[in-house]
Amino acid sequence: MKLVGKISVRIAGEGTKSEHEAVYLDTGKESYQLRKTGSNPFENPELKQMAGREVSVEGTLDKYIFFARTIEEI
Amino acid sequence: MATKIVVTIKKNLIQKYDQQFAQVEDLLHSLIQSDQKKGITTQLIYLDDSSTPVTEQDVKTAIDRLYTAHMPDYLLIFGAQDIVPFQHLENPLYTPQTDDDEFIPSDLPYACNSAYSTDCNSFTNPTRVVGRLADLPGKANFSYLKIIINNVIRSKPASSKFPSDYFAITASVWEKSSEQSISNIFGNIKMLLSSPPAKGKYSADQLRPIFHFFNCHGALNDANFYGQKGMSYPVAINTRDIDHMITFGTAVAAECCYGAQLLNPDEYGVSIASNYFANNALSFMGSSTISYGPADGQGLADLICQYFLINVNKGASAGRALLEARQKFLAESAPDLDPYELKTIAQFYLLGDPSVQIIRSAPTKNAYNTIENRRFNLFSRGTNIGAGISNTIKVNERPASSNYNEILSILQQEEFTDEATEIVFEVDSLKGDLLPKRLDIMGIASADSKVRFRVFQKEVYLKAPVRNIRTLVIKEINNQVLGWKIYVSR
Repeated sequence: MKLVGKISVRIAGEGTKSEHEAVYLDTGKESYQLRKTGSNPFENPELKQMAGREVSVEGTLDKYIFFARTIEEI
Repeated sequence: MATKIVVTIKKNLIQKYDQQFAQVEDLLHSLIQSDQKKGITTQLIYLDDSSTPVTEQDVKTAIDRLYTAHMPDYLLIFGAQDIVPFQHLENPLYTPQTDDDEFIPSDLPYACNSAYSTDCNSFTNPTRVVGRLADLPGKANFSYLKIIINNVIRSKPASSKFPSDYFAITASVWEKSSEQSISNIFGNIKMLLSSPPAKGKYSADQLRPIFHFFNCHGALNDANFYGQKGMSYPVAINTRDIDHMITFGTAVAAECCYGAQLLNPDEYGVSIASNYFANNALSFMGSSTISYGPADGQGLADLICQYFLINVNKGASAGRALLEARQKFLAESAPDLDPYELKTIAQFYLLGDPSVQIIRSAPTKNAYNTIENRRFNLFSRGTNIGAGISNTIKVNERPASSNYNEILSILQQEEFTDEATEIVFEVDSLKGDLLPKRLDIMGIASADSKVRFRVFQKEVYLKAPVRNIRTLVIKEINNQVLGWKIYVSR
């Protein structure tokens, strides 16, 4: 599936054993954690650098995470 | 009468394994024959023989009916979640972007006598010895299935020659807590590795011990566990790090978030849990979802994992090791479970045949040491524990407290502020009316006698690059604070 939205960085999983700074895709209607397929879910400097940018992503949504195969800046 | 029942759903097996289904059945019959030689009378039961279970409720009801009819010593669920579904329980802590698990995939309901429900509160009375021998989800891989069943057939308890040896990795930030866990289980911490610096590629010598323990980060649909130091999260172990390196009969406990998730290999790679079984492990105990530990000392995931490994090390079957761990966890949390304790009991499950004994138990002349007596005691204990635990329910409106100054003082003491997000849970007195009796005897009953848990989530300390975000749970009754706990990433 394809989604369009804005990238932001926020704390995910506050107080849990997987608390970390996560990259989110805010579509305007929903907000999903964004993860590049096969990348480290806890640190991804390349994605974090895209914070504030509008992107088009293609991949799979599973529960609350969008696993992106491609991410293109619009 | 069967002492072990293997339950599965034929329609789903046929759909997945197609022409190889007959071979799957042959393997299961080999397991039955092998069990017979070990003194276990095993019966394979297709849940869809009499009617077709469609929903999770159908499956739970069918298993309950079978269990009552057979009262087996062991219940083996055969197949991953696409063969026999997990029971999806509502997560009492579900809060988007904090605890994102709306549901907890769980096998706990199969271990309890209570009727089908999606409420974790219904399943605080585990009495059954249950495990799941899971094939690879989403994909028919007969070779994998053959390995995991043949390994159960080959299994025999190992001698307890090296009961204090282990392979263990902790995220560096949780080193102190892991040291306590490991010391409680094995009596020494000399083999505990911290990540970082540990970053995978372990030697055969390091991986050889039969017990493996992880207190690392885990993530949804990801086949790694991660360490942490500051803002660095290196891969502590990748699923492939164990290939051809571990000992037959290895038993694993993983505290990690999503530590025991089962992944479709074509989508996300083979999960760590599945790959352990591909490499001849026999038991894997871990979580389906985001798990928790306390700020200091021991609690939640730390406890259930260490109780399990201690029991396995003492010679309990893997299934009994988990049942006794669950009962101990509940008995120590009772009578009022906070929502974090509720999630913990629901989320941890056993992968592997529950009748497998990893370590030979020490011989005993105790005449009560029969499996029948152990099961009777475990059934009685589980039923009693459940009867003494009330329901913990999230309330929509934050109740006022005439003693809020004390709460503010705790918030201040623990470096929270009164701006922290507050969620309130109340203990329901309806279940057996135990709470009013307790309060009456203690002379503290009133018209509004409620046990409450006030949960505060707040970032209280930030010093780049280290973040420290904590959850404070305050327990109160009749506006009197009884105590508080802190659960956090450490």
